[in-house]
Formats: sequence, structure tokens, C-alpha cells
Amino acid sequence: MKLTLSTFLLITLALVIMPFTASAAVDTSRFQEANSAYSRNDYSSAAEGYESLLKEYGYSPGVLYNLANSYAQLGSIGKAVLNYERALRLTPGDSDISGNLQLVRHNNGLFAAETSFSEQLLHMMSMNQWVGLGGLGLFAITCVLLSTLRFKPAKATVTLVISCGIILIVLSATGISARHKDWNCSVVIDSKARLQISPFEGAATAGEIKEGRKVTLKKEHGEYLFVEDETGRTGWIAAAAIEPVIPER
Amino acid sequence: MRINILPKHIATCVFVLLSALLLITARPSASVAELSVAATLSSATFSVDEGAQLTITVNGSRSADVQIPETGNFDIYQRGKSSQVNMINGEFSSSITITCLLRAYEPGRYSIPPITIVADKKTLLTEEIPFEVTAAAQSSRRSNIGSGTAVSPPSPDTDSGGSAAFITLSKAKQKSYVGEIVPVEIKAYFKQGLRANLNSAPEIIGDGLVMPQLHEQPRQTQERVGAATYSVLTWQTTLSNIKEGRHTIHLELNATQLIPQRRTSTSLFGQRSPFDDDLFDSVFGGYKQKPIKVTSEDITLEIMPLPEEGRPDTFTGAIGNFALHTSADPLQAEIGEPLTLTMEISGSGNFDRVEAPSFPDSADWKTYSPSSTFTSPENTTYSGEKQFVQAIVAKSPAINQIPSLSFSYFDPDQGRYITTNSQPIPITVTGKTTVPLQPSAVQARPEPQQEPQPAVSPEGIAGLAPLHLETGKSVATIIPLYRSPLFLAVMLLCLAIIIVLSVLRLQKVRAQHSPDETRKRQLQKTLQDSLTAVEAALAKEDSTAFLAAVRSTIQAHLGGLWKCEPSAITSANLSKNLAHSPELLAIFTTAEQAAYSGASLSRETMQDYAQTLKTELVKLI
Repeated sequence: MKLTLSTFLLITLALVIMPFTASAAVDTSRFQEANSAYSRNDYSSAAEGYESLLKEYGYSPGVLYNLANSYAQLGSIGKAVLNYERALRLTPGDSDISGNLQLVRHNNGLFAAETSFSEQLLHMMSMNQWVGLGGLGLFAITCVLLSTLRFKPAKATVTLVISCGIILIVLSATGISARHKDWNCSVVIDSKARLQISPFEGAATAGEIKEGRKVTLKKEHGEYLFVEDETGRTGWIAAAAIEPVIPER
Repeated sequence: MRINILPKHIATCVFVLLSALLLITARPSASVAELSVAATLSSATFSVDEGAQLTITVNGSRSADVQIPETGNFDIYQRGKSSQVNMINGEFSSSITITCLLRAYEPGRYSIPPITIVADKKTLLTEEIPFEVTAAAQSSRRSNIGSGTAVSPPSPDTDSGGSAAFITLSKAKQKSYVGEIVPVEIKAYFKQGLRANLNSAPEIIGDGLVMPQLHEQPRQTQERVGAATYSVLTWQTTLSNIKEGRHTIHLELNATQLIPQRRTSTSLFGQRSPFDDDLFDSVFGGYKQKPIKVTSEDITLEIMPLPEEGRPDTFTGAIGNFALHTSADPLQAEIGEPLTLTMEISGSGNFDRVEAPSFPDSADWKTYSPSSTFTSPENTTYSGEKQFVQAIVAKSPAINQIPSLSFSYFDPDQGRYITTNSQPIPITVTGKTTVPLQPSAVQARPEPQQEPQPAVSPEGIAGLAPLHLETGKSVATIIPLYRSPLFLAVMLLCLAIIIVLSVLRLQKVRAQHSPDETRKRQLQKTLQDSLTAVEAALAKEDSTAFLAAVRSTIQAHLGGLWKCEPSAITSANLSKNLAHSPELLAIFTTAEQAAYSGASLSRETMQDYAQTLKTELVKLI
């Protein structure tokens, strides 16, 4: 049997991708049990159930979203925001997740600093959506170039498609750079967290920081991290008081 | 006018006469007086970190050349020279005093060898002077750091006036608590006469406590320590205790000592130059800069943990001595109308840990987050007043007072927690209900100091979207799309295709622009033009013109191909070079013959010729 080059490439690609895409199916009965606990207003049991599912099967948007709802009902605003953010990383377009996150943040006074028009435009899409847009641009350019081998498309058409592709890639790079900081942010999960002026226990406070506030890490010293919150305030915070949205492996 | 001028003339005359008399009566006693030298040392015993002054006096001369001897374990630096002329009982005498600085490197007993002095062409020797050098006055921190010399405080057992510079930390408490802020006073002593520039403010070296950066200019005074006078720089600051335990610290300050340099005489007058004087040394001699590190003695401070016993629930970490005062405005309100509650905490301590007293939980009151401001009359963070302003709303007409508020702090002097309570404030609440419950009386801060009341009722947050019934696809790790293997593979494939196609396209473009291709395109164009002429002649059925056009077309085309003059091409050239194309040769031979003898061709023949010509010539390109 003669193995053509294209067949070989497809098989190789499949072998490379397969190990990464394979995932275990979540135990639906336990998921339903947790949902039932939530319906009975037993939010603690529901949260425990979702947490155990995450620990066992990895991160799935449905479990993360339901867990965030449970924490929101329990008043653990930090953990609620954290899990909504995680769920949004997996399904950025889900309106339930983004709507609940906005509601929880609003109810708890977690208002973000005012942003410029360009920043608002860049934040219209998530980082993955920007990445996808850039990929679409690259794919369009590839297709139009391949078509020139077989067909004779008009030169104007080729130029238009390539130009649009390049614009998409440039826009995508801008969007990715704007959203990358947000992707790797952390969330304050301790209701008694405070910003300090130096990384030592008992150091003078630089101000209160609300639970649920998103922060970005700048540097670390011992058990303290130097962070900047959404409003631009900086200070040292205990490492245990925050949790990264993207969990460490 | 004459009356005024005359006395001036008389005074001038008297001065001249007196001067002349003085010169006449004065003998040249200075030069005649007996020449003698003497050398004295300011102290027979001194330490290695100090020095002694050697004074050489030459009597009976107005100039002298001192030859400082080379010595082994100590150095003698000439620092100054002065001359004096005295008149005692009408007799003049002159003397020269040379001041030297003596510094030794190691403790021991030494002696200054006789110093040779040449004055008025006479050579004299001083007597040998023994002296003793003791160990450094303070050796615990004496060290060379880089090129700088550490200078430390004087030891009580040393004499001779103490160190050149040192630092002290005063008012520091030997025992204090974690989180406590201790006001301290730092003093840097510089011996009078020492010229130095500060390179930095004092810094604390050691763990366990921190000191804020000293930005303010220090207060400058003078103090006498032992037998020496010092210029003193004083900073008022605080130490923040951050770690429990016994901590040994010291203070450091970087400075540059300015050491006056003796000028090298470049005067034509040599040593007798009128400019060879201390005055000019200090003005024109310049300074040698020597970095020094001024340090304090080691200071051991004990930082104790706050006691667990008796710690009130309302304690937020405030340590110091505070007083609480509350007030409200207005004192008469309707239900739902906001009141402004002002809580003032004054005193001294760590105000950064002072938080607003919490308003007691009550269904009768609705409270908002307080805002805070800190004011200090001394412009310090240690003492002053922190004011909290909070909006409160009475929800019941039964309310007749604002309840007592509690504030807890730890008093480090008493070593115990203290809870101070404010007096209840009587108010009148009328029963009329007002709708808005907004704290308009208080300016809300964007980031309140206190956590707001969470909008979570026991029933949960209202308005949340319902649960998802599908779990969705689970992943082991959350990674961005650009790190997804599938996405990466597709993108890499696209990139590879784009690169390959671009390379191919580039090669094609390059080939199109090569000289051969250009020549080919030129030939094709020329051929096309020539064939047009042939076609025109064919249309007219003019054999002569047709054959002439055919001939010139072949010549032009082959001339371009063979890179030679077209008119020079003959049938002989064609038969030699185009043996593989006999049809073309035949056509050209016919056309060449027709040029001399004429020819008549039918239309069909001409059409055949034209077709053959086109085919054969295109083949040649």
C-alpha cells in the first residue's frame, strides 16, 4: 500500500493531537447530585460536590459555573469570581457566566476602573477569540494562495483577501497583548486581605482590598506577592489571600 | 577748603618722620638674633585611629627649610607654616612655626628622629621625640569597606577627645512589641574641624525592624562630648517593629571626608614666596576626598509578640495610646434620613492599623462604609488624629440614641489591651417615613476603608442565571487557544504553506526578470511587429512587398537571436546555422532572390509562407 504524503501528514497530525484532546467524561450522576443540593439551597454540599468533580475530572465549564454560583450564594465572593473567570476561560462567549459574574461584582462593589474607548474595544472579545481571529486571518491567506495554484483568481481578489488577513492578524496581536495580562490574573479570595507597604507580617497597610478583586502579580518575596489591582493600586499581599485564575499544574 | 587740607599734610609728614626714625633706630636684630629650633609633640601617647600634632619652631629667622625625615611605622605630614615678628623692648625677633600631623599605623613605642632645618644658610637639628601609640580607641566596628574607612563612636575609656565621627540612636525602647511604631532620634556627630559631605541619610542595618526613608533635612547643632566639640546632625524618625525576637542592629551613614592638601610650590620665589602660606593652602590647596562610613555601636532591641490573653474581638492591630470621641449631625432626623456619625481617634501609635469602630449590628440601623482622613500637627504618621465619617440611617422611630462604640488598642507602656467606649449620643427620630436611603450627607469614597455589607441574603443572591445542566468538555489544564496543539498544528501548517508558496512565487518573479527572459520578450514583440508588416503586404497581394517584408522579418529576428547586424545575414548564414529548418531557409532564399530578380507569388503561396514563417520563427525563440 502506497502511503501518500498527505495521508502521512494527516495521520501524524492526528497522533499528535489525540493525547491532548482525550479527556475523561464527568460523572453525571454526581454532577446531578450537586445540582440537587444547590436546588435545596444546600450550597455548601453543592460546592463540595463540584469541587470533588473538578479535582477528579479536571476543569469543565459547567462544573466551574455551577460551583461559582454556589460560592456566590454562600457569600464567598472571591471564590465565586475566581470560578466564573475560570469558566469564562473555557467558554468565553457564555452569557450566563459573564452575566452572573457581572452581577456578583456589581452587588459587591467590585467596580473596575474606567477604561478608554480603545480599551473597551479590545475587551469586547476574550483572548481566545482574538487568537481565533488571528488564526482565521492566517487561514484565509493560506487558502487564497493555494487557490492560485489551481485556479486563476483575479489579482484584486487575491490582494483583498491577503490584506484583510493581515489586518485580522494585526488586530489579533493587539487584542492578545491587551488581554494577556487579564488571562493570567489572580483573584483575592480572603475577605480580610489587605495591601501592605512591605512584605512582612505586621507591616503598615497600604489599604484594604476587597475579596473578589482581580490582581496581577508583579514580583514575590517569601510568602508575599507584590500585586496591582484593577484600579491601579499596588501593594504586597499574602500569597494565601489570592488564587490564580489559571491553576498551576 | 585750605583749613581742611593743611592738617592732612601735617599728618603725612609726621608719619613719614616717625617711620624714618623707626628705621634708623631699629637694628637688624632679627637676622642678628641667635638661631634656635625646637620640636614639640601635642601628646606623647595617642591611639592609631587618632594623631598628634608636631610643632617645629624656628626662632631667629624669617625663613627655614624643614626636611621631614622618612619614617617606618608612622608618617609626618606638613600641614601649615606661620611666621611671626615680635618687638619686645624695642628689639625685634622673628620666628617660624611649622605645624605637622603625625599618624601611626601600628601600636608601639616610637621616636621622631632629629629633623633637619636649614635657615639662613645654617643647618640645625631638633631633638629626638619619643612617643607611644596605643591600639584603636574602638576596634569592634573598625574596618575598611571598599576604599572607605569606618568611623565609630568613641569608647569611654579613650582620651584625647574621641572619634572623628559617629552615630547614636537615642530614645529607642529596649523592649517593644510587633507592629509597634517607636519614635527615635538619630544623631550623627562630626568632630569640629572635620570637613565632610554627607552621601546618604543614616540607614538601619539589621533585621526585624524598618525605618522610613529619611527625607527631611536634619537639625544642626553643636555638642560637647568629653573634651571635644562636635557638630551634630539630628533626625527625628520612627522604627516599625516587624518581626519578633532579639535583633541586633546598627546605623550607617556614608560620607566623604575632605582632607586639605598642601600645595606644591610652583612660585619663582620658592619657599620664600609670599604665597607659601597656610592662608593660600586653604584657599587654593584643594581637598583630597576620602569616603568614610560612619557607624553606630551595635544596638540590641527585643521585639515581643502581642499577648493573646485579653485580646478583644474588636482589636484590629492598633498599638499606642489613643482616645475615642464621637459626634453626630444632625441630632434630629426622620426615619430614613441619613445622619453623619464622626468618630475621631487621636493619640500616638501605628495609625495605619487604626480602623473605624464597628457600628453594632442592629435591625434598627442601616449603616454605610465609613471614610477616613488622617491629620497630624507634627506632620508625622506617629501622632495625630484619624477621623472616620460614616453615614447611618435610623429605621425605627423607637431609636433615641446612637449606641456606644468600642475601640480596642494595645498600650505598650502598660503591656495590656485597652478598650475605650464612646458615650451614647442622644438623638430624636420622628416617625415620618422617607423613601431615599442614600447617604447624601457623606461623601462616599470609591474604595471604602471597611468592607461593605455584602448583598447576600440568607436566601442567596437574587437574579443569578440558573445552573447549567451539562458539564461541558473537561480539560486537565486551562490553556489559551494559542497553546492548543490542534490550533498550533493548523497554524504551523498554514505558515509552512504560505512560506513555500511565497518562495515559489519569488523564484518565478526573479526568473521573469532575468536577462534571457527580457530578451525573449523583446524578440517576441519585434517579431509581432514584423509579422504585422508581412500580413499587410499579404492583404495587398503585393508579392514584392511581401517577400521584402519576409526577408527583413527573418533578418531582424535572427539578428536578435544571434546578436549580429540583421542586414548582414544572408542565406549562407541560414544554411550554416539553420540546417534543421529547411522551410525557413527556402523562404529566405526565395525572398533574397526576389530582391534582385523580382518574383510573383500566388496568394496561397504567400499565405503558406506567412504561416510557415510565423511557426518557424516562434520555434527559434
